[in-house]
Amino acid sequence: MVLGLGDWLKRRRMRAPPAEGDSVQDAAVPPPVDTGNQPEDRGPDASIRHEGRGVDAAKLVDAVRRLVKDQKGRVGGAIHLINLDVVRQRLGDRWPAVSDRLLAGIEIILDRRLAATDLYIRIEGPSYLIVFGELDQETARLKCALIGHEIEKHVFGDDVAEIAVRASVFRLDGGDAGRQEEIDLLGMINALRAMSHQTVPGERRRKTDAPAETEGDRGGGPALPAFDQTGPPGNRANYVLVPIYQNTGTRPSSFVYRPIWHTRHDAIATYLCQPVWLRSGGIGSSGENYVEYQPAFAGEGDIATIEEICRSFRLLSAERRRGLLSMSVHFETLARSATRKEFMAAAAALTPAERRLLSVELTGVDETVPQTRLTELVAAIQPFCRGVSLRCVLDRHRFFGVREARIYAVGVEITVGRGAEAGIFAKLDAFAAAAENVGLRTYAHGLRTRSLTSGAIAAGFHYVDGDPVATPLDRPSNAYRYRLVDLYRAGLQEIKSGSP
Amino acid sequence: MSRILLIEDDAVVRMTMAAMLADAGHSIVEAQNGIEGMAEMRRRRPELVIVDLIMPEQDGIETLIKLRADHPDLPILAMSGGGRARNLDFLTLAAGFGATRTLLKPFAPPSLLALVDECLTAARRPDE
Repeated sequence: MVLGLGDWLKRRRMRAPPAEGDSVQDAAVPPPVDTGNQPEDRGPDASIRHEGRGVDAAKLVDAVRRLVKDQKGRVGGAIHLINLDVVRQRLGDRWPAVSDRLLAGIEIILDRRLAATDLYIRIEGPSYLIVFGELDQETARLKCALIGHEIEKHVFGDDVAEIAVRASVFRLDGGDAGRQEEIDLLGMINALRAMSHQTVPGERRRKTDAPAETEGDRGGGPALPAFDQTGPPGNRANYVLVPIYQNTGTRPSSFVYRPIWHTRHDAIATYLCQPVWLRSGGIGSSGENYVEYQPAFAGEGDIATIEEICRSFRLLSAERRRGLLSMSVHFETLARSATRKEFMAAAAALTPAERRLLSVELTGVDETVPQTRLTELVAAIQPFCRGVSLRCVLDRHRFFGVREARIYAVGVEITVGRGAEAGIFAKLDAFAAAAENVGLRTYAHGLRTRSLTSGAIAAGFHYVDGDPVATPLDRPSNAYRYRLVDLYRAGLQEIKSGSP
Repeated sequence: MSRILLIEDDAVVRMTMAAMLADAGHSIVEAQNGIEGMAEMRRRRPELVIVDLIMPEQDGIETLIKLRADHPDLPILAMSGGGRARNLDFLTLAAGFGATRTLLKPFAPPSLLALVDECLTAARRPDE
């Protein structure tokens, strides 16, 4: 029998009070357990001073131990740590004044992101121990990466490009996936308490001195790049735990859906499905950036994405929701007969109705590709979607033959962040003007700041996406109204408070 | 004469406006984006802020929201041409977020000076 933490959590009903929108059934869940652990309590377990989702840490430890011992089976679920020490370090003297408000916001994020079978505990450090009741390790790690990213946004606003909180996401147990072993949660918490104030020198040494891992090191699969734990210069996080080296292969581990704002229709109606590959340390890398880093992943990623798109359409339909989906397909995928054949076979599973709700973005097709070739590529995928767009470089100003190839929009990925925006505005203007001249719509992916987003809108871009608009979701959702004021309203409180 | 903080990323527009305002007897502090503008605001304590809305690094709406949060009575003149797309929603939004007056670019010098006077007068009559 395989019994997961989720089963146990369900039985124990260790739930927080129902949030707005929860079902009636949820409302029957008892309120959180009052642990009695107050911040001023400096006893042996004083560092565990807050219980997310109403969990008493000591009871949790006992119950998990009992569960594992009694069942003798493999324990599902995953336990992770989100280490916020980098946040505390960055805020410095301001931390005591703002910590309560920040942590309250972080817990809202956790409540929103975690499922009923998950729970979290705040540990002094500050860190959050998160127990995923039912997710497998890979999905749990991806979820942690998303939560980390959302926390970055919450804490640092538009400055997320400069820091690396998400890199502080680690799996705790450190064991081999699937290995049967007792989860010594108490030991973990004690270790956390000790380690939250120090780094593990050997860990950094291994990162800097040891060669990148090879295929053989991890027992098969393609070599993944060595993970740079240091993050951007000057933003070294206080890493304390052993990262897991994930053998994900060329297939993506999961997917995220990035909401796209149709600026002319004042709506978020399309969700861009992006594959995510997990790198060492549990960090998710999604979409185009990672494919550029690992070009061999393009074909597998595209095929897996169209399969995911099919699943998502079925899910949306089953839930009586409606939304447009979008995905990227690479030149390499369509140019190689093997991957093209497999991609087309997967796309053939789309129903006619679903095809009318899908747009496909061609990437990796540079300006030197002849129009005849471009036309052929578009013709290959046109039957499976409502429209084909083309990703370009920002400096491209000539779109001869693009519209004739039945491409309806051209777009760019904006990779710069705060501190390097000055030169971008004129380029956005020039790109949009050139596209407009030949009747093409325009889009900009990955805008990192409000100023870049407003700059793209003012330049005339039809579609924009990025964190100031909405963070990626685990699954697509309904279309909803979104106006210019919402770009600022969402972060109004952060803006007013000076976004620590 | 009033001390005016002028936040505008386009150097030519900024210098031209600074010259117009200086000719009208005002003292001008210049900043080329919202972040610089906020720093100058703290340092120089101007009596009026003129802010462009489409700017890199920190745009005018965000700057306006921050300024308004810290200085509820500060007169702020928001200006924009709506960018290449001539999107006038930015000016409407600025008014909604508390700009004292808004100014559509391009403008003639008398329009600018008249609105500056209006803003400064409004600041002296807090009941307005």
